[in-house]
Amino acid sequence: MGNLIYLFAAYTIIWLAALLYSFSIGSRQKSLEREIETLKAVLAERTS
Amino acid sequence: MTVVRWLVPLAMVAALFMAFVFAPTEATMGDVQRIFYFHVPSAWVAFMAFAVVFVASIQWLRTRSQRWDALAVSAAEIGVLFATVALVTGSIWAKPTWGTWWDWDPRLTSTLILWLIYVSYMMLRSVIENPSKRASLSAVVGIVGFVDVPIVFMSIRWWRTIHPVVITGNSMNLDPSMLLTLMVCLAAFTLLFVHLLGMRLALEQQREEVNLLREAILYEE
Repeated sequence: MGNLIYLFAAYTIIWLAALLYSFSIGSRQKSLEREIETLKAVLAERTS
Repeated sequence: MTVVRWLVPLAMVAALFMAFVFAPTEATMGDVQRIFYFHVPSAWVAFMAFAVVFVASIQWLRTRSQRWDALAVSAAEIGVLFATVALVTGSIWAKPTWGTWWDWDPRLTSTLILWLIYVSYMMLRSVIENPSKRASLSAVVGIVGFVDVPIVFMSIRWWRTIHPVVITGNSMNLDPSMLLTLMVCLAAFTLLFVHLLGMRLALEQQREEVNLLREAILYEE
């Protein structure tokens, strides 16, 4: 039973790392999407 | 990439099933040995990622095409993540097995050096503003740093070590059911790597679009 805590800890870290990294990419993508929309609007305003 | 996106969760569930249900309990170490099924694939993904950095860095220096630099930085970030996971899970396995969290064993030390090389690669990128200079200097680190990957792999064969040796010459020191479990886990992690690399590359493409739009706005002024 004592060793199961190590097994649990290892798998928790693996899943957390994969999930947090996926969320981090998703959040950076959303932030860039917003920036692209803003920049496109600014460019459209300047060219019109 | 859509197929990979759907295959990844299926493959990961299959890997978990194999690691916790299908694979037998190891006689000496007990259940803690099951860390091995995700620890080895984490190291495998890190090696694959650093191999991609190596190839993309050579291609950048040859062609100066931005897409190669984007591929290199995307793979390096994933490589650092999975090298970290391999180091941490290895340390967690070592505590109940060796009685210590860390040992300056050739495999562990060379892996830590590998991790430090690619952390330095990421830090170097963050301090250089000029995109072309950043890509060229980090490409040199990406190529030279890859020399440590075969050293990590061969360390348990070249030097005396306490790290388990699973692959010896042409054979595997594993029960067939454990070997099958490891293969399924390696395949699942390879798919996860492809999926994450695709996501990370899309992010670099968005960054490139932002840079182009900023340049266009500056040109309009």
